[in-house]
Amino acid sequence: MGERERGVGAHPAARRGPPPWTAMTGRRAGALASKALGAAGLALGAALAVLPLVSPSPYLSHLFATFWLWAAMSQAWNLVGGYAGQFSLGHAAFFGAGAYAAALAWTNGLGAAAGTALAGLAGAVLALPVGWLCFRLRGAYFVLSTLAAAEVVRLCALNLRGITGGAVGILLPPLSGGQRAACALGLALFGLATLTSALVRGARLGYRLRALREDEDAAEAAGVPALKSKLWALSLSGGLCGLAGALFCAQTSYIDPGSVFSLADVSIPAALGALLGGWGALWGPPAGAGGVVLVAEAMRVLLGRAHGLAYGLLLVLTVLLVPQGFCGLLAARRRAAGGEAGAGRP
Amino acid sequence: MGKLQATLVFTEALINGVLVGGVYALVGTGMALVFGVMRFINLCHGELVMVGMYLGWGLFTVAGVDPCLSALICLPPLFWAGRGLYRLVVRPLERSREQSQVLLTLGLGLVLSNAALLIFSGDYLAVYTAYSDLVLKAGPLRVSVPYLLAFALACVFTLGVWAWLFLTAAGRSIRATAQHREAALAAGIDTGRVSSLTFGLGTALAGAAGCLLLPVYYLHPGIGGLLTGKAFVVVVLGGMGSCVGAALGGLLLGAAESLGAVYLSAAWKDAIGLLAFLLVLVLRPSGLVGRSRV
Amino acid sequence: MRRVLEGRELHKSYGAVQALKGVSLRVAQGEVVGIIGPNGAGKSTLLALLAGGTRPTRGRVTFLGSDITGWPAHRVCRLGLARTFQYPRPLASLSVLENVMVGAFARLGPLAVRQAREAAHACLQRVGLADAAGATAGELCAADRKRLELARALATGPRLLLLDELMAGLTPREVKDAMGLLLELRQDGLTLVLVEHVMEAVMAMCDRLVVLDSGCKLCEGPPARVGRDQAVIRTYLGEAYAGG
Repeated sequence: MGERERGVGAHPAARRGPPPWTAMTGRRAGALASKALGAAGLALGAALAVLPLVSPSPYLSHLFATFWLWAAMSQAWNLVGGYAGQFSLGHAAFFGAGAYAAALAWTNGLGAAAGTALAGLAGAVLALPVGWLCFRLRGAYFVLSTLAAAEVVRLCALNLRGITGGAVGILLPPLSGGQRAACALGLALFGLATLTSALVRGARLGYRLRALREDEDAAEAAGVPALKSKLWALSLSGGLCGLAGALFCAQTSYIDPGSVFSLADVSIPAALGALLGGWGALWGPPAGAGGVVLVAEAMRVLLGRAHGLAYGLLLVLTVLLVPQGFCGLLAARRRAAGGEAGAGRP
Repeated sequence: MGKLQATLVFTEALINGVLVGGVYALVGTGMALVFGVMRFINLCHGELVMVGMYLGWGLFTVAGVDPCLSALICLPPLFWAGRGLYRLVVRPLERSREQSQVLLTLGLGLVLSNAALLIFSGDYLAVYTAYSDLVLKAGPLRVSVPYLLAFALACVFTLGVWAWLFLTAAGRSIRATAQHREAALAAGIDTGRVSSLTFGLGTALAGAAGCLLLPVYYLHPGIGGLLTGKAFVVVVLGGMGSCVGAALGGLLLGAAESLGAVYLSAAWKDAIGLLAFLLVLVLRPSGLVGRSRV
Repeated sequence: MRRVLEGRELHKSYGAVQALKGVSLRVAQGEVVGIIGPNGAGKSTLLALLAGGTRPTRGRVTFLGSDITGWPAHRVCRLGLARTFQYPRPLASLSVLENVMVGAFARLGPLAVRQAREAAHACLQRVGLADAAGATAGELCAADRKRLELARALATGPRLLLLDELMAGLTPREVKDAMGLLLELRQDGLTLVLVEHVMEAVMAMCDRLVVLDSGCKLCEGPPARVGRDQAVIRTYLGEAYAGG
């Protein structure tokens, strides 16, 4: 029938050329170098982690507490935005929910631990309805829906005056132990976030999330429950963000809806850290977050009132000049230099 | 009497809502054009409206120009500013992933709002014209004259854009590009120029809408985000990228907000729009009107 | 023989277009059924309805005694019905091994990474892609993408495989390899449903052919009889060849 002719003229023994994966000779040397680099990074990280804990400068402790907080946020965002490829701009909802849960628990006489646990729970639970709603949408529509969901949560916090105090916010007694304690707690939170990320990455959930990022229909056909996997990821991520919110609340002793549910001050930095650092490696998001925190702080000190303007400009320039993030840039350069089959296996 | 009073309150709220909704429609039309033609998510549309508001306020304060006139005066400079913006930052990312577009336009929004903060400080500004407090009485109904004027002008602008889209060659190429970019390109349409025109037009409409919003909203540097939110609600209600849909969406949002403010509370006004936005996105992603583009 | 998969009176419309107008299909345990027909006949639509994720406008699909009409694809998959796509859809930035592991996890616990890796290796071995386990899936050549597609489906541990034009675009030698592999799978007790344009493969392998044309079932039966059917010849070759 119609298709029979196709086979007749072709060469019967057409052998395939050398498959692209044979060109991997330089991989061993690369692996050794990256191992050395990793060890150096680990040592540097450890030194940086301990330094602010023993240094007498409260400013340094404050700076590092802020850094750990945003590194943890980026790590949490990466679970959803990086692994699963679901670009969320609504993570402020979980952060804020955690902050408010903790603040309300603490002002109502609950202990530090109970309040913190409640904050994590608030973030994780809030993630379920938000995800259930937003994960029906893909691409641009998903981004917009997360934005809107966070905005709805903010308006709730603003208008439920009886519970949250509305725009006035909540004032808390300062954290005993000061910035140094905040720094230690931040480090612990970052450790928890990184551990979670590493576990997810190595387990079934991580494989499924990455499959969903690449091709949702193909993944579903291969037995990946898309909605359930994404909800797990968002809930874990939301829980971590809730804990981060509690830490923020303890560190600053004051929260209001405008600050903890902010798009520009919470959702974007969380995403930006992971985007700049890249989702490929565990160290990507914290590295990116470090850059974001340092640059933001430097601009605040150097530029004063103009720092918001500079922040926006920097955002624009980054997107224009390094569209795939610094990590993507590194990977592209490595690929170009080594002529390898690609950096697909991080 | 109680019943009559209730009907009166309802009718007044509805009318005021529809009047404001006309201006929302204009804000949404600009965004719908840009999304429909370029598939570009513009999250600084509200900040562009804010620029128009500051221009209108400036013209009024310095030279006493009426905001309605400013809406016209704003058009050419903002059209060219929009084309410049397109050339400078939008074009390199026009075909890129949504997240880049979102971050880019959020960054632009931050630049604009922070620039406004530096120049004008964070004060709330307003424009008081001779007719600001004028009220039109039709029987027992009372309708604010500035609202009526803003609505009428917004209608003129919206109809003008439609006429331009349907009657001119440039408008035709814009509609063709919205239908199918590759086919338009194959038919000899310079789609790059179309994108530039569209972004310019969207920006100009945003500016005009800003001037018309002056009698309705207090002006401050943070208003852009709020307006971007409204524009998106309008565009999504009408089906992303449909201009007719955006017009209907604007009227609907205006009415819903106004009625919500009367019967629920003014504080929840903004939440109503966002909830509608989420529900429409999830339940009827093609919008209330359907799937037509531009 | 035991019936494994059944589609009853399946209709599917996309807007005004009726892609499928009441097609019924029965597949017995261990059978190899081929679905053929010209372009636009509704083959891929039928496959989509059988594989889950797409709800028929009318009609029911049952698999292993469960009514799976309109089930999401992942549930259908875990019940034992796996599919491949006509245009292979590798999870591009994952490695070949990881692609197949995703499939293997369909039947494994959340932490069973080692078992998944072993199962994936076995599947890659089977389709002859074991050498490429570490390569990035997006960089495979077309034929290897098809192997990967098959390996990922196999890894989910199916009872029945739906193969959408697995052999299209392969060289004759590769077609032969693929046929050998499918026959092996069949001997292992897998039931196969193929949508296929490569007629020598279809004729050689299938127990039964179902011919679709414009959304309707034209005829059904063993390959030899279908090959002689006047209506089928008319559809494929035109009036001039029919009746001869």
